[in-house]
Amino acid sequence: MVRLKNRYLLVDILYPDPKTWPTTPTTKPHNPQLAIHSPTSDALTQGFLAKMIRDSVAELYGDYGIGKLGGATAGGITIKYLSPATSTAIVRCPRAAFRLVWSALTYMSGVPEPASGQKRAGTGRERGCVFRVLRVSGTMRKAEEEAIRRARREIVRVKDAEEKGVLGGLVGGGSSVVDCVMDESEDEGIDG
Amino acid sequence: MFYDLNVPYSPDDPEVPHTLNFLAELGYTTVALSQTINGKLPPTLAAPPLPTNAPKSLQLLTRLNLTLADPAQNQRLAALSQAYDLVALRPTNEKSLLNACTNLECDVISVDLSVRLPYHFKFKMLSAAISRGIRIEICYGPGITGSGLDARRNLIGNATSLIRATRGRGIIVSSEARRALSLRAPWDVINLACVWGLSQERGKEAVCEESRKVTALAKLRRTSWRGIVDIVHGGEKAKPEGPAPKQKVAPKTKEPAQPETGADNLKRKASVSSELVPEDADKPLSKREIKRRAKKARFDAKGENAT
Repeated sequence: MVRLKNRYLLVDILYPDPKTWPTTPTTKPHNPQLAIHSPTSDALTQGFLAKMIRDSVAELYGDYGIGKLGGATAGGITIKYLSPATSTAIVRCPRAAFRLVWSALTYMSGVPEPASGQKRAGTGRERGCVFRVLRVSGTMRKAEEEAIRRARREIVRVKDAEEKGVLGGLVGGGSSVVDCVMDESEDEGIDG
Repeated sequence: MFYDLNVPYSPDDPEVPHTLNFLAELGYTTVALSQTINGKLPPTLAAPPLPTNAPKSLQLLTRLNLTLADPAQNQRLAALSQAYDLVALRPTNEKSLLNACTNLECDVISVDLSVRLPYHFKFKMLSAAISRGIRIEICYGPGITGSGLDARRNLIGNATSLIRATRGRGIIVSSEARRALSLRAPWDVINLACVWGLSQERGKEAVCEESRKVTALAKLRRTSWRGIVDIVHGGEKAKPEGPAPKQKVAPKTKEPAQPETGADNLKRKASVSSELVPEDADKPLSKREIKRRAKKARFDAKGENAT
């Protein structure tokens, strides 16, 4: 049977720039982990994110890239899941083009932030951000499980940090991304 | 595990703690903070003080970027390498690149890939550098944000030709990101290297193993004898505890062994210096002992002149 093969990219949006961090009501200093993972504005919809990625692919790879994604109209990119509260998304793309999509995500550097009063995306200014691909997987279920696993671990980390105070929280800073992003063979072995 | 060996740094920059926090959040473990010097060197050189409030998961190194235009310039590279953990050269023309590849003592060669280069990379030149233990660096930072369309195009083109010329060996990838916004997570960088023409394994090596080799080699060059022999533990601690009283009583029985150790003092400096310690016991010297010391002193002086 002929089957269309896809890749699911689990993406999260990080905000490294302190100027774009949301203001806290108290005078307490920011927990940097929490602020880097701060929520995205609702102006970023699924359709708009897909359009942003498609534009970025078009800018980097031109007609060849768009063609490889499956044509301008059909648009091989679908946003399967987008949660502005946790700044997480799952992007589906054709397997042949996942590196194009991934590098397009790497070259993207902002999400829309509506200016006061305006509701439509794309009209306001840009808020600087970094798109990080956490996981490349062959099935949607694995991407979802990974998202849940990571969210759980983040919560534990932030809670630990709260207990130890701001300085203590920096101890476990690097451990979250060290594990492997690319283990497709395992995914396909399980679900294929 | 993941290395970013080029983060521009100046001690009075307010952005530095944010950048370091973000690097730790992305999963980097070792970061080299770099200082760039153009043209003439200032008379006294010391690495700027490291930031004190850095995340604990990051290991910080100091690095010097030295722009190299004229190959005739004497740059006192030996003195420089003592002050910094890493020394990188940035040749601006083909002649100085050739010079850096074949002669100069450095750890990393980092060509500015975001401008149009009027020459091609040659395998012979680059392989000479790689066989000397010098790695070639690709900085992805200028191509990501801010520097315009041309910088991105040039970076992709130059990186591709560099990867082709080195056949994928001896390349490290680092950020050279002036702001936290142009930093990228390690796996995103590996994917970029894949798009540029490295294989996935080589791309991972460029961020992990090759960069680790650079830091390890640089450390060896600075601490050890010609980068080959290093003293891990000289055994100095154990001496004064146990056999100390014994040596005070019977230095004369040990004396005949002395000239022998003196003969190969060129090679075993650490052990000679540690053996000299018990000799300065406060007791009157015999004539024989005085003569022997004078002879030894002369021998040492001769040995130092010879080296």
